[in-house]
Amino acid sequence: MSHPRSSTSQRFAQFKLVLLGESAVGKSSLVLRFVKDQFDDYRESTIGAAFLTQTIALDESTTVKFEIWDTAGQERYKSLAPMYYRNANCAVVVYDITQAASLDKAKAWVKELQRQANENIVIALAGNKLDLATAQPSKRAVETAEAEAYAREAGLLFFETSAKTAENVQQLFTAIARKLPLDQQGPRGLRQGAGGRGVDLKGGAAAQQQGCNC
Amino acid sequence: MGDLNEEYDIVVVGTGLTECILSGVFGSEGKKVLNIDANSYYGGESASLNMFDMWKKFRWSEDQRRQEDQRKKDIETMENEEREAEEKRRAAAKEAGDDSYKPLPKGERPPQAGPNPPEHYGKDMRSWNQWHISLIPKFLMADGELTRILHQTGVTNYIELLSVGGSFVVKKGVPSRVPSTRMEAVKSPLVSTMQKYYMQNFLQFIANYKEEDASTHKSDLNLDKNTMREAYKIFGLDSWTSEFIGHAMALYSDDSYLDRPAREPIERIILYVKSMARFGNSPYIFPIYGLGELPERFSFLSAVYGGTYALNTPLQEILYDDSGRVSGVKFPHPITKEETVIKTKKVIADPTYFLGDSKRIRATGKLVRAICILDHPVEGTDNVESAQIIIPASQTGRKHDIYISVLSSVFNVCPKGFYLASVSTVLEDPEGGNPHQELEAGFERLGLGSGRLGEKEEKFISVVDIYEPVEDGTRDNVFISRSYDAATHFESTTDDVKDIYKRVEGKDLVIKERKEQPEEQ
Ligand SMILES: Nc1nc2c(ncn2[C@@H]2O[C@H](COP(=O)(O)OP(=O)(O)O)[C@@H](O)[C@H]2O)c(=O)[nH]1
Ligand SMILES: [Mg+2]
Repeated sequence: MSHPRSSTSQRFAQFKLVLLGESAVGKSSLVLRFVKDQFDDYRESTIGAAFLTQTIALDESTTVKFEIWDTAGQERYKSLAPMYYRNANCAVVVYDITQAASLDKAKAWVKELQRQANENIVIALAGNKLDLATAQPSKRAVETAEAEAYAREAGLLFFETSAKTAENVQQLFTAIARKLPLDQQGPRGLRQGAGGRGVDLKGGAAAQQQGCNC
Repeated sequence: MGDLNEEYDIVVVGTGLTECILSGVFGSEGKKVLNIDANSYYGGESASLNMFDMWKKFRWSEDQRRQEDQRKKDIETMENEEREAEEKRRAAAKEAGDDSYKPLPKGERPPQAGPNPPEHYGKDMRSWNQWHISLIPKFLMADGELTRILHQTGVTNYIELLSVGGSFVVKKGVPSRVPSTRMEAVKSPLVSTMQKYYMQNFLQFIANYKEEDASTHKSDLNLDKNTMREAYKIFGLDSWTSEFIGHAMALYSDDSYLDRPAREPIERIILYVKSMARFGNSPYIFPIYGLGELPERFSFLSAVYGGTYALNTPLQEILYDDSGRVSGVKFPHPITKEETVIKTKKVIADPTYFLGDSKRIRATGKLVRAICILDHPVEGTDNVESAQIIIPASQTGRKHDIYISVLSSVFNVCPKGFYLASVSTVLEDPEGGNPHQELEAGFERLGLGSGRLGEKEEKFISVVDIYEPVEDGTRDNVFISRSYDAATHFESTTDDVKDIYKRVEGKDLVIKERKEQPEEQ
């Protein structure tokens, strides 16, 4: 279902994407903007919203589906479960350009991913809440050049984004999709862990074989 | 940045499977739940550890582990201080319009307190992370309660389970598959020629049995009045046949069930047969990446419902009001480490938070477990990638069975070429000073008899106490869960979940089915 199909002219690949970064930098808002093209100033995380999917058509023959894992707030007290970034193909590490300390936290995440995650993981650094600095330059606490230099050094994609105005959000995800190894051995993610070998529990008791199966 | 609330409906202490399921259930009912855990990982006793954490747990000294914990705290303090200092310098530079600002290099971190695992298990965190070694050797029954809860809560959307390759029982040193259908009974070397007819009848009865349909009952067998010993007799099953039925299908680890009413064993056999019928090969399923997935996924579910999680946060004290009921809990703040008091009326905790407190918990027995890393498959199991092997007590002259579970890299629990095997039993001679000796028949089965161990093989042996709460918790609102028992599966764990729920809420647990799939665009 999810391996790039090179036998036909259509290519379709699915990747697991995770968001990391300090609490309140706008991770969930970026996902919401990307997936639903919405923004909410007083967003409360809603049920089921921590796992979403979104598809990007890179060109006429190439489609990339992101399986997006938001943190459900578990990062707040440094308590993210490893299941969350295990096997991620790509990560968006987010900081808030009006909070200098959030970049430090982002750097720590990048370091951890580079040490622990998939070898070929594609990491993008996103400096979010760009709209705040646009409206009021004095609010900016992280200079673009500084973050850009760091991203270059660490081999990361880099964008300054605004979940609020949508600036650079699509660009961010598209750049990730373009950098992913589409032609390599199948992407891994939720349904790829077992290569589709997993048992299907959907049937429940009713669907199972009844009685004597001899 | 939002901080901890002043008050929670429930504080859950520990992130074991029992606690995480309960936390997910309460969260889904709209309760505000705070979860704290002294460990740096999810799962407590039901966690899966990577190779580094395994090594630390089993091969480092107490002292090294203490030093390492201190080192972690020191590093965190250093980081906090460096960050604050940096922020001041940055702000000052900005104020002064100084463009040449550059962060100072970070201070040197103290060295790790204990050794790394041997290199054949990997050289860095990335390779150690390929190991997901489950601390308790349990499988899920395919038609069991935990499977049902996984499905109903929607956690199956996030987790992948594989069918376990075989369920074996050892007779005279040879493992054979446990027959669960009439056809299998005919072919099985476990069933003597004399017994085939009776075993077929028995399995027919099990397959057809419906509580509400009297025509499927056996007229001369009353499940509540007759003992299981009598039931076997009624079906004409001899002592060996009834032994493997009782131990390898009803999954009792000793014979005390024989003189109790037949209902429970019969229900357990029905569960076995139904589970077997779901995916074939065995009645068991197991999550990819190991059992630790279960608490992690339930914690995720609970967080999605608004639950708050803080690891590295030990419980300092439970506070009580004048009537002796819980009024709050005290713990170091997960980030600032400052003493924090949270109001709550209810605490759910796992027994390891009350070690040594005989007013709270009592030990009901000890288990000895060996987690073995093998570099070869297990002989006599048709080369399956995973198996459950039971060595009944009668085969070893013991009172309790020895359980073996085997998993290969197919479950993403270890790198290719390795196998994880767990051998466990109820410790019969706690004073004997030689607990691993009680597992010897299991080691032999794995090719590790008489202390044999290949260059790349390893045995991690532990003796664990099994605890249960002294009180039911309704007096003071401290509800304590049970330790994970000797059983090969989680049925008693889900019983405990339901039991605790009922004690906390005063009503039965009904899990609402979450139909919706992960959101699609
Ligand atoms: N002005 C502005 N506010 C944002 C932006 N992104 C998020 N926010 C706000 O920042 C707060 C935290 O956002 P959230 O997405 O929950 O952060 P998370 O904790 O990283 O998931 C919310 O109040 C959002 O409305 C943005 O791009 N611009
Ligand atoms: Mg969020």
